[in-house]
Amino acid sequence: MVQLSTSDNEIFNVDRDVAERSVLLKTMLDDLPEAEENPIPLSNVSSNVLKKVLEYCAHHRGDPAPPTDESEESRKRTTDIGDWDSKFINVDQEMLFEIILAANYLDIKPLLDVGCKTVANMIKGKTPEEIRKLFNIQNDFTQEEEEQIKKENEWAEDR
Amino acid sequence: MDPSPKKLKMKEESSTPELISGPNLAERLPNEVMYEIFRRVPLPALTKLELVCKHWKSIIRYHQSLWKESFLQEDVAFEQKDFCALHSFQIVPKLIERNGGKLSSVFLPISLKHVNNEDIEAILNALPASEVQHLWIVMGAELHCCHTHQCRRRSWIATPYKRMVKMVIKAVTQCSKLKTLRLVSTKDVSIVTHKPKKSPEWPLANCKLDRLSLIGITIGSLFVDETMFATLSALRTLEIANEAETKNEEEMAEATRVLRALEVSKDTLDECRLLCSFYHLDKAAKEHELLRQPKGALWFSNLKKLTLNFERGFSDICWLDYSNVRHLNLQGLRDPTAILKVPKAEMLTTLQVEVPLQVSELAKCLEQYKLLQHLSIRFSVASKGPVFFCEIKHTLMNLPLEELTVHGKLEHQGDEIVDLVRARKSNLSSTKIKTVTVARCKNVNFTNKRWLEENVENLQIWDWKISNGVNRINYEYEGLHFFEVESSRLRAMVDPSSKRYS
Repeated sequence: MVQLSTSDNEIFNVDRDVAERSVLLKTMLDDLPEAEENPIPLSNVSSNVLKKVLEYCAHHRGDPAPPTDESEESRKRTTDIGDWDSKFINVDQEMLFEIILAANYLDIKPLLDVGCKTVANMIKGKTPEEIRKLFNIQNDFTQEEEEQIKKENEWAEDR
Repeated sequence: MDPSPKKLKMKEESSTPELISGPNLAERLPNEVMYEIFRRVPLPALTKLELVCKHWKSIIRYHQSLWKESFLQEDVAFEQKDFCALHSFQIVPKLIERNGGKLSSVFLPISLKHVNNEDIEAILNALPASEVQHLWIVMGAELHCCHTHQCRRRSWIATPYKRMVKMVIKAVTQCSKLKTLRLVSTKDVSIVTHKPKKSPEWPLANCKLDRLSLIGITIGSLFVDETMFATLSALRTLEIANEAETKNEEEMAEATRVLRALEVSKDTLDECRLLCSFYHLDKAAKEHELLRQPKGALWFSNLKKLTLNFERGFSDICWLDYSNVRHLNLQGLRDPTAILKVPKAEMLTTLQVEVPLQVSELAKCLEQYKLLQHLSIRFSVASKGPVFFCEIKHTLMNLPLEELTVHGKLEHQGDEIVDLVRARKSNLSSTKIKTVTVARCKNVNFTNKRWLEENVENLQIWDWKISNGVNRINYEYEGLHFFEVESSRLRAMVDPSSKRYS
């Protein structure tokens, strides 16, 4: 059992193999034997997010380790997300970003992948204006700058 | 990361997460995470993202590799036949430019009717410096185009086509980092042997290729001397397909080169597809020193997948030992008894075979393969009259089959397939057939289709009349599904293994 302490000071008791889905935690547990006795502080992760992340880790506890090398196979477009994963990631946008940030911090590559794919799927069919609205982003381009970029990118436009 | 994120008003709606108001996404996620998101977005959408805000644009422009990666994603789209040759051609130089002059993977369709020589030359000249590793060039008089481009269409004549082939070959020889090389020519005219000058010091000679595909291009065009064959010593995939016949001595020379390519790569080769003059190949093998010894044979220790296309004449290729092969694909058999002359591959689990009408020989042949799990039978288009499926049904009962594909000529015999699946289901000792595909069968008549649908996990029936489905399955069978071809080249590479019925 491993103890994890969140930013809002909640303690989670987790099986070691579940915690080790996180490369960060695995490295800590391997390098620091005392880490097993004291709660590991995760000051960047709140309890409601960690709960969600651990749900993912527990479901995937038996998965083989993801390949470390970025082979071409793994890079090619797969917007597919597994059934369980897509249900899991069907959360509000706030939680989605928190999960992505936590996955990035804890170094859980498959979870980061699921989160990023989800965001990529959200933005890929949308116009720039729709994307700005979706994420509350200010358009900081002038009309001329916008025209310039459009011109530069003409070659890649949809046929 | 902000340890105490602001709580926001949230609305949970249908399946897509929606935000009413919130902090700027670009400011909340670190650049490295934004990069992870952007690299999962396909190319046309990526350019739109640059327009969202300055911060996004700076991330996208900064990570040049994004351009390369979206290209790879496009590559997958090409394979799905959802592409335009002209568009793909035009984006290659742009991708090289955006990617800082380097590009590891290049897919370049050259559609002669749509592009001019200057553009072809400019792209080909940029290839060697781009340090391309995976190069796939498809040449054709008229490749698939979406027809929304304003482009001049020039009439096709042989001379510019030959010139283009020469230009391409010259560019390829100047590449020094190649790992995979695929050259496809869809016009038979390119078969005309292009003879470069002797013993050149080509950068290509220093490459160690992993995959080589020469379709409609002779080996002799590139492999002019022995030093070139060293590039094949670690080869894992070899595809050679040449349909057109040339003069006898040229055929002999080419056959000797095919043999040499097989010999150099025999320990590493994992997959091999051959369509060539087997008559000349046999003759070359007889003259080959190694193979002249009693029982001398080229033994492929790692070869798992073998495709042989006998369009240009049958051979029992007894000088080739492929007893380790798991996956055998036999095409273009004209003589029904020929299938019995093919050497046995005892480890075979997958057999794809194109056969003439008489199926009794096929039944005898199938009895040899005790481990067969996947069987795909394609009845030749040329054969007349119906096939009697019941003749092989008994044999099929005794094999550990899991997948069955029948393509063509199965008129009024759908129920035979139902009977087979049903009989295997009730017999506890036989495996359950999970996947059944019936394609291009006129009046296939399943009286009990419902039962089949309920008892087979994956059932696909492509009616004779559904042209879309049939076209797709044909593309899939030919393995050239990424572009349209107008000639008999369609039969050059037959690869049902790439089938994806969706």
